[in-house]
Amino acid sequence: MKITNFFKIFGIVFLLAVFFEGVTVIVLIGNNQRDARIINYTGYVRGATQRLIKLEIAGRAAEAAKLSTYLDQLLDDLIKGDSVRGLPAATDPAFISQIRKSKLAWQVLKQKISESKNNPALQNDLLDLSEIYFLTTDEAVLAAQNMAENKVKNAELAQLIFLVFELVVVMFLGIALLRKLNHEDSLIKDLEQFKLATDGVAEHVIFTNPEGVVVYANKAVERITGYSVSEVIGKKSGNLWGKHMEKEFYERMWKTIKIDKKVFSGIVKNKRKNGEIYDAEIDISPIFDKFGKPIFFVGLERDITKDVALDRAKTEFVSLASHQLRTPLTAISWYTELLLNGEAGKLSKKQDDYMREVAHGNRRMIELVNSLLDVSRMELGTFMITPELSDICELMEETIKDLKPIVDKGKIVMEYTRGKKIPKLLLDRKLTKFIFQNLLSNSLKYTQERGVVRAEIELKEGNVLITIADNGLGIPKRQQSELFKKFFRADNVRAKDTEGTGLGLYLVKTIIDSMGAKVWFESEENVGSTFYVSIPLSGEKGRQGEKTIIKV
Amino acid sequence: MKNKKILIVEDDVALLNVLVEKFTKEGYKVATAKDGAVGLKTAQLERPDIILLDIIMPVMDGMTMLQRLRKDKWGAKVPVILLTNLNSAEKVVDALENSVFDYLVKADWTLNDIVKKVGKRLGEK
Repeated sequence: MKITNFFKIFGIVFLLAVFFEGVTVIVLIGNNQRDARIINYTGYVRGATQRLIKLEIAGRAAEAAKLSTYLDQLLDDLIKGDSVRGLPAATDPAFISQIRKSKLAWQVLKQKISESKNNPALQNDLLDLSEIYFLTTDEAVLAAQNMAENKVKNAELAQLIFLVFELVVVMFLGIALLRKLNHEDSLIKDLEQFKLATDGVAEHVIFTNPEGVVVYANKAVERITGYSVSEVIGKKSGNLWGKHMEKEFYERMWKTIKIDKKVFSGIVKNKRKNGEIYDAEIDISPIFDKFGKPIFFVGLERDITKDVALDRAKTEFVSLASHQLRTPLTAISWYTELLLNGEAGKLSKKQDDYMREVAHGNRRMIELVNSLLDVSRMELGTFMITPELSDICELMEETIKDLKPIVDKGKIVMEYTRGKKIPKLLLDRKLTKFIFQNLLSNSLKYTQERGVVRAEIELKEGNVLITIADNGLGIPKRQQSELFKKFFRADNVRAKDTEGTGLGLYLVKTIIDSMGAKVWFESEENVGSTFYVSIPLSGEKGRQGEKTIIKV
Repeated sequence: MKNKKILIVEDDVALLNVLVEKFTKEGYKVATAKDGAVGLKTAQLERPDIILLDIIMPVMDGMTMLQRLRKDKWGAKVPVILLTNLNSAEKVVDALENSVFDYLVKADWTLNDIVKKVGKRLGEK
């Protein structure tokens, strides 16, 4: 009776155990020295079965029936709980032969075993585990009897609490493990898909750790740099293909991605494994953890060597063509000059008129060629900005003076406000005058007779602000976004003045951008336009180039 | 500018002719050459007061002629005005290193202004 009590507890514990898949060995730890042994449930089953057999032999039918009920229950639980790898006892030949002697127990067991017959994996597991015994049958029975008879209440409770606790722990560990396995599984899948995708793209893709050591590289890296992926992983990209730009470039790059935490974009010169230098457009994106610490950097790179070469060839062609065009234009210019000077005899009124048209047309041609040359140099990056300490107001005044003939011709009112206390700035005198001249002559050109053009220089928020305003044609709203584009001319001015090249504002914007200054405008059609140029008090940025342009 | 001698080194005949005509009319004695090699010889032979020098020319270009000229004792001092359609900073720097008086882009200059430039340089002498 007492032992059946024990089995009842054991059954409950076991029931709890079977909720958790993958528990292979359930242990009981007793609360006295003897019981403190680790008891394998197999032992209990064996012991209980032996006991049952003894009871049956002894004819103690009532007790045997009760025990068999518990055993039945236990076996049921054992087998049920062993959907993965339980039931070691069932495969122990000795145990089976013993239990076979108990009709009832055997019936149950046989049925359960047959249920798992069609599962070879399960049977293998059963065989593997059938050898695990911690206790001999007798010891198990004794331990069980001891627990049941002498320390039933305390032991039962202590064991129960302990087992429940242990099972919960195991259960959580198991769940965590399963989750981790699932997660890793999906990660591996993701990674495979990611690799397929990135290997398929033309751009070079690398991941580096925060120190710049490459942890991932796609196939395009091999194609572009000539280094194999295995040569690249674990090394700093800077030591492979980088370090061919000025130090400042890399300093700016690291600052952008590490300190400003922004994407860095730029054009770099890198070196292939074979020593060839190539041009690349790069984007480096920093990836941060939730604390804002960089975990890795993603670098994308596109080989633009061919584009650069093509661009250069195009620009060089324009440059060369422009030089070649200038020579015949010079001939026309000089011969018409001689004729107009009367050096080949006095011209009739008509001849003089015609020659002036020739001279005018030729002048326009020369100016266009000059502008094209300026554009090609600018695009080649071969123009210099040479800032020197200059009085910006003086430059403006000189420009206004140069334009006086146009002002007078159009009977335009030219207003000029010179701001107070404008300090001398580091300015490239020629380029600054070029900007003023372009903006002012646009205003003059597109302002009606007797219109007003206003120029102002003032200090504003740490910058020198130059305003050039007119009450002329204005720029149609829908075309305003295109104003600084190369060859752009607004519809309303195209109709009025057919001579513009559409290069002036493009050049102005390009120069201003490379100087580190800003230009913008406000305009309304038929009301007028206002252009603003803002130059920081620190002045214009210098720029090294090979050639000088812009003759003002 | 009576009796002043100018050497014009220019490979484009149309331009050379118009320059010759203009400077002759202005009273200069004009010597010409159509490439740098001839220009160098003519310069050493004629010893002009000033040289108008083109850059892109066959046989020997203007910059080479200038460098050779500057090695010569006489040639080191003769004023040279580069008159070219090639305007680049490298050339300007080269020109300055070879004590060139001026660097003019042909297409942007009228004959009258070129004459004034030359006269100014010789007047200062």
